[in-house]
Amino acid sequence: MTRRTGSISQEAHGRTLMSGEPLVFHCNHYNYWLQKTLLLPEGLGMRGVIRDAAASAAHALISAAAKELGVTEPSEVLAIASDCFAALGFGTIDFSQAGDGGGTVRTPTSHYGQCLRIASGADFAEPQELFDQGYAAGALAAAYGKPAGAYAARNEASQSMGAEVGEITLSSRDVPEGFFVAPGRGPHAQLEVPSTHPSSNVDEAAVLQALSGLDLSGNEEGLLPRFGVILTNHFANFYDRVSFEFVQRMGGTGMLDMAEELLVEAGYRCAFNTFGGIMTSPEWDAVVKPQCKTTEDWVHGMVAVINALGWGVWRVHELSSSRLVVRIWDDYESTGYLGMYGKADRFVSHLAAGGVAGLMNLVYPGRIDESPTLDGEYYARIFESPERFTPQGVKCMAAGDEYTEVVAER
Amino acid sequence: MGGETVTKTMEDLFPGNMGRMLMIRVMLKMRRPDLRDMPRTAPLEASLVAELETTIRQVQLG
Repeated sequence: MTRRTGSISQEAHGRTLMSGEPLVFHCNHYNYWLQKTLLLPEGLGMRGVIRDAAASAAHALISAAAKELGVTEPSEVLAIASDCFAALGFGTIDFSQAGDGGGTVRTPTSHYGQCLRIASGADFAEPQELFDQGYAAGALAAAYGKPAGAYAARNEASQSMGAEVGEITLSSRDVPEGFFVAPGRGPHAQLEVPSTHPSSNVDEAAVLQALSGLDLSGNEEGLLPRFGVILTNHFANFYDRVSFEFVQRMGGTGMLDMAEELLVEAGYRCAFNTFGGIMTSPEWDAVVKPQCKTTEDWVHGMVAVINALGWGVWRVHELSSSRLVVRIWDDYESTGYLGMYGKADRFVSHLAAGGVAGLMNLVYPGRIDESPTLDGEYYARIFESPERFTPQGVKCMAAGDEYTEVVAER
Repeated sequence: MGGETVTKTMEDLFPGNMGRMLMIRVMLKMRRPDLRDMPRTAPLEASLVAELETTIRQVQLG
């Protein structure tokens, strides 16, 4: 299977870029819980925010990839867009019925259309393919040399609502004022990251080397099932834009702290499903588990794997059975916030906070080393446990600190 | 025989930590930050219970 995509570059601090757009791995459970949270309050306009964030990121990626490959013919640019969509695990997308004036785009398979249903465990009342809509709009705009916001998009048929194939209608529009422009790579800390914790028996370099040998691109259906979840290699700028715009719009409602707590919970769900899936996978058993001589090594081992996800560099600073302190350099939430909004006045790394607590909950009260079934009952048991860990964001690069620091305690 | 009125509390509707997160979702959905300050164990008015139960069902949909 040969796909023409943008070039992948590995940068310092665990960052991965495709044609200049930072990528991060996330699973269908995180994508579901994040989107569910964003769409909860009526009247915030988050559907448009999600669509436009996807359009902007897709436009940036596809424009840069086409330039790299020397492609200018719209049909060839759209072929690159289809290949990128599939390679990144978003599904398959067909632009053959779309042109300069808009048209219909089909998605025979779709992460957002099909894989969020697995995570939800319940039917949807509204189409979930907002990302697909934005991606289609941004790609068509890139193909015809127009700005990212040049097309409006809506689902005529939605797989998340039961349709066999997704259908998105695109139509020309005036670019909305203040249309979001993805900041690309964004700022990058120049600081040297300390080495791994001295108590760790896990060879992080060996773990990263082993993971680099895995094919983590979409299969023939453009989907990426791995570790018991369905992954996407997604746009960091997309996550950052939709999360922070949600926070901005919740300011003044008297519920800002609750909105942020739900973003942390989405991170916690992410940890439960993705970290849990990884720590019960054959790959873990082959590469990491043999190095785990203590319970703490399960934390060190998972942190080593996290450092392959594009989330920045995590370092265990302090670890006991009752407390974990993680310091993170270039966490993607901070770099995205700085690139989009400038210096923050508060902690913004909500995904990281949920991830740190979720990791401890899996290892200690959750006893992930006993290979439990990762189902709702197990989740509830941990979440209701008096022994569970909760996170606190102590430092944040976006707010001017040298690194982001999260403390998880019982 | 007269029917017995069953009163519910916030604790009944939103038990435990899972219930607390569900309550936050319901509060955002209803845009009702004031619900946070309601006593956990005091009986609620029937109309509010009905409204909360409707919103819980909506939130529990995908």
